[in-house]
Amino acid sequence: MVRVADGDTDALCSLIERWQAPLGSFVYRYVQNREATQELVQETFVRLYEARARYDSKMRFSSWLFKIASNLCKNYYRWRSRHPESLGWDESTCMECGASPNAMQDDEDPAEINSKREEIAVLERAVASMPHPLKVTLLLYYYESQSYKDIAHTLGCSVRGVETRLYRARAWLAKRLSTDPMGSSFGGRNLLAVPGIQL
Amino acid sequence: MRHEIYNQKSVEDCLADWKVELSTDPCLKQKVLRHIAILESSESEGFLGSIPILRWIASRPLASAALACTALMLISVSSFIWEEHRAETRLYAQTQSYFLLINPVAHLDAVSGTGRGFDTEEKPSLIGMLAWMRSSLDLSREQFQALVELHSKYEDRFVALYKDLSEIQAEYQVFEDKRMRNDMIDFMELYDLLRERDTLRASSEQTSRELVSLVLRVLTPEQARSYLALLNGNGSQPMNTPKTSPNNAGA
Repeated sequence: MVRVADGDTDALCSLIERWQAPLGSFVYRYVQNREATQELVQETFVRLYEARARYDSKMRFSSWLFKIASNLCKNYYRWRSRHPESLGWDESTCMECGASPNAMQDDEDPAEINSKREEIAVLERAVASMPHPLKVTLLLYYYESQSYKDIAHTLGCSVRGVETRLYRARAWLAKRLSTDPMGSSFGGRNLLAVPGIQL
Repeated sequence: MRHEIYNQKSVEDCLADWKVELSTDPCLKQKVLRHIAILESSESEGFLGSIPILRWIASRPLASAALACTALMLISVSSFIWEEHRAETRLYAQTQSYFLLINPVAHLDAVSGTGRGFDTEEKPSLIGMLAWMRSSLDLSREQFQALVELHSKYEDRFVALYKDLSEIQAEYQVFEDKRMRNDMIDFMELYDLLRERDTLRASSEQTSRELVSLVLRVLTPEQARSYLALLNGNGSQPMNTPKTSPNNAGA
């Protein structure tokens, strides 16, 4: 990033190569739209380059990168809520595009595959309905394996704040999964089994 | 069966099942670099891009906001100063006009000496001139009414005195022109002219003094001080207008 700050575009290409995939999965889980994901990932790297002079070398690069990306996602989400007609977003979109229950093996039962897809669709809806800070905390912690400290840098809050947000994000999910008409089968009772979560 | 499977799950398990497979965009690097190149070329062509300090400021929202605030403050201060200056100029013009209206001698001297005075069409009414005094001296309603009455009584007299003074001045000018063309001087005519002029001047100055002293009676001591300061601020003393004695005439 120091080289990028000096205007080295080769260094930027290296960063793109290294971070394209994790950034893509983070953005996809946030916006749940393939085309938007591509646009936002590209925009993130452009913004990263534009803001290179403001990069604080004390901050971890990943925190800086995800901070830019999460802000862009938030703006996109706000824009989409104001223009619901401009982009289709529904369960089928999610099922077709990015979400892939690839944990399933070819020898798995088709009925089980179908039920897992339903289950993930419910989860996607629950994550989509989550407030921005909770969503970013959840995605960075579970899928990008970021530490509390890095997430705190990304969100601009304290480590304690991250803990609180993570707790609230889990509670939010547990509640949504247990109340979703499609996802009642998750069984709120067992979701409550997550330590510290009470509905 | 399905219900039983899900019932075994926790939130963490649900999250762990959410896998995402996205094919990476092979052209991403080119797209990003092209986008950056477009941005940089538009920046360098633009006004901000041509001046490094402006580009630096534009890239920092805090600095831009501070600069905008400073600019706003400067505009406010300069407009305030400009307004004050305009108000002072207006007040000076109004007091000067008032002073000339209540002092026909000074008015005539101003017209004949500098050419400054009122055009016939532009000449403001004396009563109309009192509006500025009301705000400048912070007059009460009663004081203002008293001053309007007072000035109404004197307005016609000042107009008549100014007319007489102008006529005698014109006659004197004719006499002077005639004297320049002839070697002979009719001293008796000159004496009569100057005596008449001085009588008129004295009468005019007496009338002005009368009005000023009556105005001062209506005003409070503080207002009176301000009133006199405004009159004296014109650079002339209404009480001590220039006077030409017959002894100095023709010298």
